[in-house]
Amino acid sequence: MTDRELKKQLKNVYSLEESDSGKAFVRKHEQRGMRLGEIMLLETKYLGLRSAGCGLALCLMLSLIAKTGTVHSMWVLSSILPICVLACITAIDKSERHGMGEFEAASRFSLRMIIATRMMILGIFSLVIIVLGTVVIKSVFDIGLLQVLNCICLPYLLNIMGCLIVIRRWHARENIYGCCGVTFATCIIPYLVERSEYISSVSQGWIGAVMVLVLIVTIVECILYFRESESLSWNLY
Amino acid sequence: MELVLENISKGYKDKIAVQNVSGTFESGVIGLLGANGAGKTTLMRMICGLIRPTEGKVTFDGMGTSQEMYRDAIGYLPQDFGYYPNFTGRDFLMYMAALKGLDKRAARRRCEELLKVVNLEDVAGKKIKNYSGGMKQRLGIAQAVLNDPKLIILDEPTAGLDPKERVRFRNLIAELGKDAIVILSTHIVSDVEHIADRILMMKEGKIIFDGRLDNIGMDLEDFYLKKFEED
Repeated sequence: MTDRELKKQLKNVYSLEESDSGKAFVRKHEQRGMRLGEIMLLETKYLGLRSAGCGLALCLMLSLIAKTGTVHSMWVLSSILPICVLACITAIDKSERHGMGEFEAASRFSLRMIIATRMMILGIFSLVIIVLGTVVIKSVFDIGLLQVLNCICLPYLLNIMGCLIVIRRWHARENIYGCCGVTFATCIIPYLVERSEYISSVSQGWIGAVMVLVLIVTIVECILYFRESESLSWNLY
Repeated sequence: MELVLENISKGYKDKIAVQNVSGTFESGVIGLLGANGAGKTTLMRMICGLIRPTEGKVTFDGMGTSQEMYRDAIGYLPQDFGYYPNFTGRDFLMYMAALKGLDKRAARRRCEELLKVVNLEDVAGKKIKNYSGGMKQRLGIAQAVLNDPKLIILDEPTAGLDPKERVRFRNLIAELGKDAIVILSTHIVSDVEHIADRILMMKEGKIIFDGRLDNIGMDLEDFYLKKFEED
């Protein structure tokens, strides 16, 4: 084949109309799929205000405790922590509550995926709160680590567990009222623990065991909620 | 481009919502008519992949409803829906564009285009909780076509629209039907009589009529009433 013929053939090839597969490729390239990380960032943006508000409040409280340094203020913090849970956890169910569930379920990222990312974000946020609280209290007060964990984690985890149980069972606005009730109950636990001589005499090991149990139930509740969100997207209402 | 429904049925505990629905659909507007409770919404949800059929299957160009490519190809407007109250119209469209996997730059361009098409350009920056019912409906329509879908499913899309918007919307649907399969469910005959290429009628979960509009040979409203009285 001469150069001239080759050039002619190439010219013909390039003047061809774009094929369907070519168009599909361009369209696919333009609609590049979002990755899980990007979806997480997007959800963080929408959950961000709540989380940032709670984080800020928590930092202020921790700095106050670090300054005043009384054991009583530690129990006050312990009572306030569950409110951070209340401010964030109801966001897990917001698709259903606001009627966006069907839109999200019919998108590329299913409702299940969106709920999973929300849970992951709130899980990370909880971990930060617990670690930060433990570090500050441990550095201010001369008490054992287990006692600090019991004081910081137990009411927090109890509230998460209680709220998840409520959210998994009630899918409308009532779950907010339910979560408020659970939060109120968990907020008074530290107060009761501090006052009650009997509870104070229970060994820290036992309280630690209760905490582990609560953690297990919380994980089970998360898994069940996640699974049910799939069946919810398959069998709406 | 072909949507195939193979003998699909959906039963709940004490009720069969959809019974043995079959059909092959190509590009154009398909009007799905039926009274309230006829099973239209259940059928639409099965086509979208939101509900798994008890029997049968739905495929679009050979893809099943659980495949990502299938989800990429659909645009859906549900019958009952809501919005996150803190979203503005533009925020909502951008959020949906992200969930549909659109690139950010392309999404922004497409959102502005669609806000103009549905006549919400001036209020795009306002919170959705301040929108009227018709405005919310138009925003829902905009999100349904955001990803340039090949299969558009609209469940009672004209509910809440004023007559002028209804006409505007019908024109938009007719335009979309040139290059995609548009399934439009309604119980209002006038919504589909001028734009539908094919009509399906549903009653008690069954398809009682499936045919082209040209073949009906009489006023669609009269035919619809006649058909429902017959069965």
